[in-house]
Amino acid sequence: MSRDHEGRRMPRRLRLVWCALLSFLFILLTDCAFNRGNIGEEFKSERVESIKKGVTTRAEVVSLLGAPDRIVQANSYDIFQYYRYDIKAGSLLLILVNFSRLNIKSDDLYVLFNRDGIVEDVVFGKRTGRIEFQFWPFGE
Amino acid sequence: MWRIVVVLLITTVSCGCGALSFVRVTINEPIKPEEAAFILPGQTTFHDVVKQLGAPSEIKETTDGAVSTYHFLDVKYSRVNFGWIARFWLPVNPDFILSRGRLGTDRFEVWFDRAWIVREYAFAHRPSAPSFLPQPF
Repeated sequence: MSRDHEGRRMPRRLRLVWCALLSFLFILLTDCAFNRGNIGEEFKSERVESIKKGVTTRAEVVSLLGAPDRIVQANSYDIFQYYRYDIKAGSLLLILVNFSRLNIKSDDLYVLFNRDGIVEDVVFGKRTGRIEFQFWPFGE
Repeated sequence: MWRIVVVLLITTVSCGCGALSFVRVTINEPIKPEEAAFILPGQTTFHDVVKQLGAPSEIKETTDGAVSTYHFLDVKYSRVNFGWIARFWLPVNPDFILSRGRLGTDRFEVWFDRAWIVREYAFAHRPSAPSFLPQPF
């Protein structure tokens, strides 16, 4: 570490500067935190896939996925909505400055029933797979 | 519910003891206008929209069909504690805090007729892009 890229030993003064810089960084870095939170349970893909259009009934969907978070009626359909949120938070706590970022993403599952209570359609959107821990709050 | 969650999260995360704090909360990723350019009113179906953009955050009935909504949220919170430096020579830890949080909401809405064909779509953009500035006045 104390040698340069040509294998020569670094001058004593430069080494001292490096040590001072590293020490300064360690002093500044006081804490670092990772937090994770969830609202709702993860959708098991085998359960979602077991819902068959034109076959599965409303009662079977409820027994598979539980009671829906929301029931909506639109275009003569009863729509069961299930949602789930995943939260990942990263914090970099320095002596002077703190940076934190929370990323929240949702999974949404809609099951559309016809007038006979049979599944007409299933719409599933999974965004939580792309969620990541981040510290830096600036930029995109 | 979103707002309660965001306020709780900001309160939790901003409890750091530094002189300056920057907190960002984002809920889902905004849909860009070019990503929605494939939608052709009168032709594109609900299935096409879901296939390209994923499931919406909300579906509601309208008088002549349904509307699906995609919600996005971007919160920027910054705080500066001018009293922080005084703790090095005073027996107490005085606080003089200025802080500000800005909440930007984006919404993308698609209206469908009774046959689940797109009638129209629109972006509801936030009035101005939020920035980090701990100036509450």
